[in-house]
Amino acid sequence: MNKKKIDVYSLSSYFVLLAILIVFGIGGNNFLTLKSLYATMNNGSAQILIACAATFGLLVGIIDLSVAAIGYLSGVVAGMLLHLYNVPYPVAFAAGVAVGVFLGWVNSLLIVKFKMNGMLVTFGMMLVLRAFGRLFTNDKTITIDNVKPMRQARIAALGGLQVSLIILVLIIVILQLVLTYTAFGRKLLLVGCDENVANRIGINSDKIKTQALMLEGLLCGIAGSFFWIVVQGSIVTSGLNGYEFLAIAGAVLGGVSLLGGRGTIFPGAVIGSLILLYLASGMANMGIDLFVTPFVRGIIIFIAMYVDALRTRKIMGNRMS
Amino acid sequence: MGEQLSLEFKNISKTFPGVKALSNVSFKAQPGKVCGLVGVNGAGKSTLMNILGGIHQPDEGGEILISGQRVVIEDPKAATRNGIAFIQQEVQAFDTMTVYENILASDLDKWCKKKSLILDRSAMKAEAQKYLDAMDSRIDVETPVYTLTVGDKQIIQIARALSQGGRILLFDEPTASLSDHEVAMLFEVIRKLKAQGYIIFYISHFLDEIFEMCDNIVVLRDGRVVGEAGISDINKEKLVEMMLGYQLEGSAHTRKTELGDVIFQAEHISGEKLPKDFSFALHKGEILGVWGLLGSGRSELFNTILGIDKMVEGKLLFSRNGTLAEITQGEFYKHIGYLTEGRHYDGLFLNMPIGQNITSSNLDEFSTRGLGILNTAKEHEEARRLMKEVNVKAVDENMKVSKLSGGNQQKVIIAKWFLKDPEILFMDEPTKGVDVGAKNEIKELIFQKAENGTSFVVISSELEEIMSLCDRIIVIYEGRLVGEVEKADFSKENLMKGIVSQEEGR
Amino acid sequence: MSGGLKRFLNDNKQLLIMIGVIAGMFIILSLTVNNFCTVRNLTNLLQQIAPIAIMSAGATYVLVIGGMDISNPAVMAAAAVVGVYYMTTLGGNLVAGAFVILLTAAFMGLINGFAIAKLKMVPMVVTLSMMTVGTGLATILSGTRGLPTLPAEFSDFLNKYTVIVILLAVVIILDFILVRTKFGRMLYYIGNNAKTARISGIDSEKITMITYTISGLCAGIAAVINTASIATARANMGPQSQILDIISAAVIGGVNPNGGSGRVRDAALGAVLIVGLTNVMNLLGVSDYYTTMVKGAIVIGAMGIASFRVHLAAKKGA
Repeated sequence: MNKKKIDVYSLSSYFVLLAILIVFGIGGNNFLTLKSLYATMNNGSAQILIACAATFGLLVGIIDLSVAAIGYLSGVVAGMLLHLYNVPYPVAFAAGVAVGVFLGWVNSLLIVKFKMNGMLVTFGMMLVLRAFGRLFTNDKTITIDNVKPMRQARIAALGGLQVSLIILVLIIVILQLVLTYTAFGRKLLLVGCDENVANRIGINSDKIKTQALMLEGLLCGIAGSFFWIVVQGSIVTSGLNGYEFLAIAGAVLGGVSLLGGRGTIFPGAVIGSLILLYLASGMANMGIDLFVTPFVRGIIIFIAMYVDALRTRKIMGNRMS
Repeated sequence: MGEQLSLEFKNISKTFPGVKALSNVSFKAQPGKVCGLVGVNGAGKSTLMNILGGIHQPDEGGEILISGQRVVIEDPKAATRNGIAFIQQEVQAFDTMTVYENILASDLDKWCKKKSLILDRSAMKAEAQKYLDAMDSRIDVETPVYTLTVGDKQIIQIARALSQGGRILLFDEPTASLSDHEVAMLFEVIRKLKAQGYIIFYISHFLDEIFEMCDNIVVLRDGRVVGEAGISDINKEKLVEMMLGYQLEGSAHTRKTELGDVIFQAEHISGEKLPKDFSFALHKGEILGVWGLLGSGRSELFNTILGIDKMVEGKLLFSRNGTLAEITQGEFYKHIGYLTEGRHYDGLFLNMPIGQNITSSNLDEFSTRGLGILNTAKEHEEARRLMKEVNVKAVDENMKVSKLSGGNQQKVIIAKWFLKDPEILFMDEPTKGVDVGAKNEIKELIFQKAENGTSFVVISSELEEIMSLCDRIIVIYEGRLVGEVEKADFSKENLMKGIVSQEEGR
Repeated sequence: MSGGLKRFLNDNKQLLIMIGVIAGMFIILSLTVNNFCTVRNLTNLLQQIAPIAIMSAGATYVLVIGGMDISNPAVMAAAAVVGVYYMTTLGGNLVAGAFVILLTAAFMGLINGFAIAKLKMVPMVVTLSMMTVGTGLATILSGTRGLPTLPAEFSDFLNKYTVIVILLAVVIILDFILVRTKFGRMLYYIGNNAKTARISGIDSEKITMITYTISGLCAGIAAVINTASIATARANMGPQSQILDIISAAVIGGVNPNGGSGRVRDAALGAVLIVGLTNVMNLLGVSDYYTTMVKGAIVIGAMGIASFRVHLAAKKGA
């Protein structure tokens, strides 16, 4: 009985995605071709990975608003190394990821160690990191040519599937496996579910939260220094702007709880992000005013958050009052 | 476990500053037996359990022997290492996680496959299933815990204790929030564990449960073991006598009990769980006691009447100008005060000054009608007056409440409600965690107020206190009214009568 | 009478610190920067401070009840655009237009409050959604070509002297309400312990809704001021980073980001400090990036001090 109910819930995000694809498939033109589906996903790959990163914060109960900015700064660092010093790509990539991990650690220091208000700290971080990025690039758009071969790598047999997308899928699979099959993943959920109980039965929740935030930084670093600069081929000041919101929204749309302890990478954050991506590209495809998209998106997200609040209330029930 | 499992306390004493909580407690518990630990509040049960759980250390000279070996339990982790596990009344569970994850939560690292980080889920499920099977429980290991009943969660808590290698299990009021059916299930489980050779301690206020579950009983009173007996060698009356230990005396305070008319009447109050169909009447100037065991639904009764928990059925009648008429909960709240039990969690604004705490429920008196502008000079003056009236010991009204002692904090809450001067004051454990001196002061305050016509409804789990304070006591058991005792007939036996008869009729 | 003086010093510690810092800054600047200490420059500065100070007054209310509203700049922009759209494209009256701005902003605040109090949603997320919706609304209405310019009367009436009067009035009134009225006191009670507040008979749902409405209304007042100063409205007139100024102004002013304490007066002085700092850094030709960094560092530092205070208080209490 109970099992069935829950299946409907976790399936509901698939239904929404399917409905969006069908609606725009009928209404738009050439929306439902492999090429355009791939292109949307490929363009949104950084957004998807940042949503996965934000999910790790959400699972332990931290709403991290600095995810996109961490990705941005990692990308800037990697890109500038490529652009200015012509280092080999792996070195630039490693540097970008290292920046991400470091920033995740800084966040954990402020939030976990010094017990500062997580949302405000990460909000401040977001603005500061962006300022750093703009300072480094001097507010100019920088084109990175030496990643072109990587960007254009495709597999013809799969209808022109980009290699970068395959890498994204691999990362997602690994993350979900970590979440379901490792002790670390399980501890994340336990800590997010009830930190006090976790502490009482001998789980070091501060350590787990620190690890979660550093993993978040790592993923943002990958998102910035690979999926952003490689896939886009350039650094712009507005890069990844607003993605913190889209990331968290995508995660919640996919059923990740804002209060911690509940959620998945796949289907969760990934399907939720795909819903947002195809909604935007579908609306653009149908020629709906570009300005309307964020508006519609805001409302959909609001509904998703409300559903999350309802679900949480149902589960927690009387415990909340 | 080559040697046979056993647990022995030898000369355990515990001195807290100024109080001797335990003195020379010695007894031995056998495997395959359920040992009941009984005593009134403050007898030393929890201190003893805290020593076993590694939260307190015994005084010099005391020893704990497990299977004949002396052990030092320096912290809770050491307790777990030695196979000691607690099953508390308040269920500790991760609601959104599945059953097997809950059972094995404390030792996840052990469940990784060889030399990898990957959890062996099938092995985990099998392991969790093993513990559930040991209790013949039919809970599915893959269901999320929030879909389960409290009773099932309790079972999961036991399974977790077993998975941690628990061999000495302590059940502390495990039935307090369970339904009859769940209690029966839990008892089955305990019997099975007993048969498997665990050492089991059972602590409960419910004497019937003690007689049903336990094989022998250790009675504590004032920190000493005052009796040890096999269950068949003792009866309920004798046990109660051992627990109380002395002849009770009448109240020192002689209070004229000229009661006024009925001011409030609760009719057939039912909440979502407790209370059930509860009715009582309250007279003007009366101090009415509500007595019941822990988990009997005392606090729930208050919360339901006052609309903090949902009232499913029932109505409230309130007397204005001499006629009783039905009243809504919202309207009723304006005529009452409510002193809650958990004063730190929901009684005080800890980081605010004493004065602002005192005036918090009565801001209308200090503000203008339309714009609600506060008259702070008057506010300070009134706060000072009340602090004097209830004798709060503090520098002045601007001191933060968090800096006061427990007794003074309680007086601040009392001052707050005295300021509002409601017709009825509901008090849940008004003297809990308060020292003896303050206890008497609070009692005197209640008497004075009652003589001026305020009615009181008081919950207290301390028998002596409730008998010396109240004019009449109603007894609640499992959310139902099971007895009413007038002042003249106050005695522990009379109060227990209602409960005992209910337990026997079970 | 030294006891009374001690009390006063203790009660107004935050105020005195703020005044001291601002006075110090003022003296240094008057001595080093040419034309700083002129009526013209100072009134201009106050005009710039006004919108942030007013919004940080609203933020103070929200923070005191333990809430969070990051939609303020977006609400400000949306309300301004709606109002200007009404006054220009729809040809509405200017006075009515000002009220349209105020009402729009208050209404958006009310929606925030409703979602948080009644639907029990997380404040940060609700206001984050409102931020996108507000920005979206402003972008749609202002279109690709932007809105036309307002008639000069609007800006003439709301010149910098009127703005300074509005600023002072708002700060004084809101501070008075918070500290000296029943309503204000209830906010502190809720922020300190929502459950005790409920047991003391305080309707916290209603008060939470009113509080977010006030926060929206403050954004509306700021919108009117900003509209007057640029004589039109743009979707980008309330950039996201402005919320950092607003919240840091409040936190520097000693408002506890976790609820329960703080004053509008001190938050407004915090705004003077933050905006003044930005202004000075502009004057000195420091680039925008460094300014943001310094401000970010200030807010994180201020929060560090706040959490350190809590830590100290806990230690003392135990």
